Amino acid sequence: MQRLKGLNGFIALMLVFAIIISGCSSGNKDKENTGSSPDEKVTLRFSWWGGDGRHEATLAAIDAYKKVAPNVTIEAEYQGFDGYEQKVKTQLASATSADIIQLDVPWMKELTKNDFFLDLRNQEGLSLEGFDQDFLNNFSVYNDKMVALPSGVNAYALVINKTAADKLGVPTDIQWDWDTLYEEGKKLHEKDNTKYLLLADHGMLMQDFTNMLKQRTGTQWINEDYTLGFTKEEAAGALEWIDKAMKAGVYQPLGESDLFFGKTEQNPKWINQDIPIISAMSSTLLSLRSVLPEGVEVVTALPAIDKNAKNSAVLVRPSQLIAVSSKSKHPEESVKFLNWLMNDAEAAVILGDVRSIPASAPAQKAAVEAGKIDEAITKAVEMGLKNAGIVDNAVATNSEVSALLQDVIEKVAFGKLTPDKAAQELVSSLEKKLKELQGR
Amino acid sequence: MTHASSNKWLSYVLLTLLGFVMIYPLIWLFVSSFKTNQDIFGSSKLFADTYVWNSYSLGWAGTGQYGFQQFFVNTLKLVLPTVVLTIVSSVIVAYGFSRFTFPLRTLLFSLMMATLMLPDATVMIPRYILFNKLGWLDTYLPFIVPSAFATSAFFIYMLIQFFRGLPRELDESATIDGCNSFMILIRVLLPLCKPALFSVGIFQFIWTWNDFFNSIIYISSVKKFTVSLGLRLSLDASSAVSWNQVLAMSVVSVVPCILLFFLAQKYFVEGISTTGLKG
Repeated sequence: MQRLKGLNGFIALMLVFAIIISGCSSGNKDKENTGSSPDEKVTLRFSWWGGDGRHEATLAAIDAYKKVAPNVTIEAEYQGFDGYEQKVKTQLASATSADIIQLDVPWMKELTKNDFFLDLRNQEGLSLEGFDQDFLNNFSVYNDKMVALPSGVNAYALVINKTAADKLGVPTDIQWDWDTLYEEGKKLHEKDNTKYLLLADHGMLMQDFTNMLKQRTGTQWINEDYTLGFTKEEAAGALEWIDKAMKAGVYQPLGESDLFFGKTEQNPKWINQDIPIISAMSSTLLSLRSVLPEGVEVVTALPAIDKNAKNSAVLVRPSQLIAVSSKSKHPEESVKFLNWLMNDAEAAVILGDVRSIPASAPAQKAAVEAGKIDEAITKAVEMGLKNAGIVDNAVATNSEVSALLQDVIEKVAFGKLTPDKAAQELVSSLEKKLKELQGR
Repeated sequence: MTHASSNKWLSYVLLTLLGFVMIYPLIWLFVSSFKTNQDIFGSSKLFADTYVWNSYSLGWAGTGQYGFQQFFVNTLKLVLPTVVLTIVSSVIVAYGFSRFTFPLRTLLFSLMMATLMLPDATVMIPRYILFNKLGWLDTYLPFIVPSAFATSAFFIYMLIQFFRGLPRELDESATIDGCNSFMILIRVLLPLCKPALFSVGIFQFIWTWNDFFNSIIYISSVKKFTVSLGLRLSLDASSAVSWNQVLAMSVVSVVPCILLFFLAQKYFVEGISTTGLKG
């Protein structure tokens, strides 16, 4: 009996190994001839995520492309955001991805460790002239390869319900700084304690905190070399403001607003117009506005900038990136379609702002002229680009670093730690974590 | 007497209240499918001031190229074969494990149980690669074919437990009457384990019907999307979502599961109580 057990175990072990080995070995697919003559029928797959508006507009654009390149058929693979990341990663890992793939900025660091995407530099038929070169360098180039192009520009901004703000006596035409936010917020809440000036979940509070630091120091809040870009005193100063603002009712209490983390538009205080201002990415404006009654005017403004700011710290990033798979059988045709989608005036007019403001200048111009782009979003992006701040490095956006910051910010927002102690905790825990990250 | 009847009334009231609490989300879902976005999220009241009546027709028509009619047909094409094959294959395998002794039986049984413990995430990529090599991506075969080979250990185990509860004397008397082993299964055991079969069928139906993650991984073309994929087709943080349409289609997609449950309720409840499973 004992022997049998051993034999059984052995067989089980072998089976497990067999499964693992067969699962891991990837087949070498025969590469088909990539040279294609202009008449040859070509089918490309294009995958993206989005909502109804984006689906409809992109399908219309694909339809219009039939006239531009009659030999190319484009199969659309579209879905909502749920599950898209997992699906794309699975597809990339097994070389079954679409030829043209819409991607999100936070995934890129991980995805570019492998050779999944075509280097878009010096590709015939793809013009990069319309793009802001700094913007491309910041977000499209990884390991010295240009792996994806930004489909649109998104900027961090204050989204203001002007109708409500006017009614509540909140000014909408000023450049906000931290003092004016505090004073206006305090005034508003003292007048009516069901009203708050600002809506922020923990993510936005973290953004406000790092913005404040970056504006005061003029550097990254965490440097590329794994050191802190701020002192304990500077952190305490910023946390003090958050503490003060929380206690004065400038922000809706975190316990209420965090219930709607990631779905800010569902917050009843915003819907019932008890809160006039949200700091958010410009692309969320459409969904934030969709829950308000018709006739309510929504405008945008630059986020709060310190009076003595050394850097604006305004975050500007691509709304999405679009890449061409390196496994594509028709790289030339894919690149041509990408070029059309990004730069062509006709495409820009069809697409409008479904992927935020087009990143390429000629496309942007065409879309604006056709009146296809929301004014408030345009304003937010224009102001953002004009005042763009430091771009966070990969260390500063590391998920473990963010988790530590989130912890401290929440403790302050809930009044569990004094700003001084919180700053102490933040500095010591970050230093420890950064050392650990550096060692990896 | 009065004491007993007032007790009875009290328990009815309590049960009704509890039942109402349980069913409230569904009521909210239904009522909200007629509300505007603003009313859905802006107030916690069940009923709104203004109602919209076209959410069902607009939602059914869908956006882009395909509507919900297509998604429903697709889902049925996927779910029905999967359910039928799961029942057939699980019964055969469970019968084998519970009534026969054969070489390596314990080993195979423990392997089967081991797959029950295996987290789904670990087999995701290998399975995907396998189906990719077979050329089955973007078809329903990755769902249908495995179900023909009794790959859900949970159902096999459930049926084994049920078979073990049926006395062997029945098999023996059937043998005396001239049945071979397969006829014993068909003529004697299957009629007796109807409740268990219904449980398997209903569970598999609801799970496959609601399954989102596997479907999204294997199915790429929107033409082949199932209902659960179709429901999330328009959900994105940066665009305006007509929630009433999404909720309306959720109501419609819940209907088949509810209908099936009520139609098979009698057997279903019997099934989970007799196999000792907590539903």
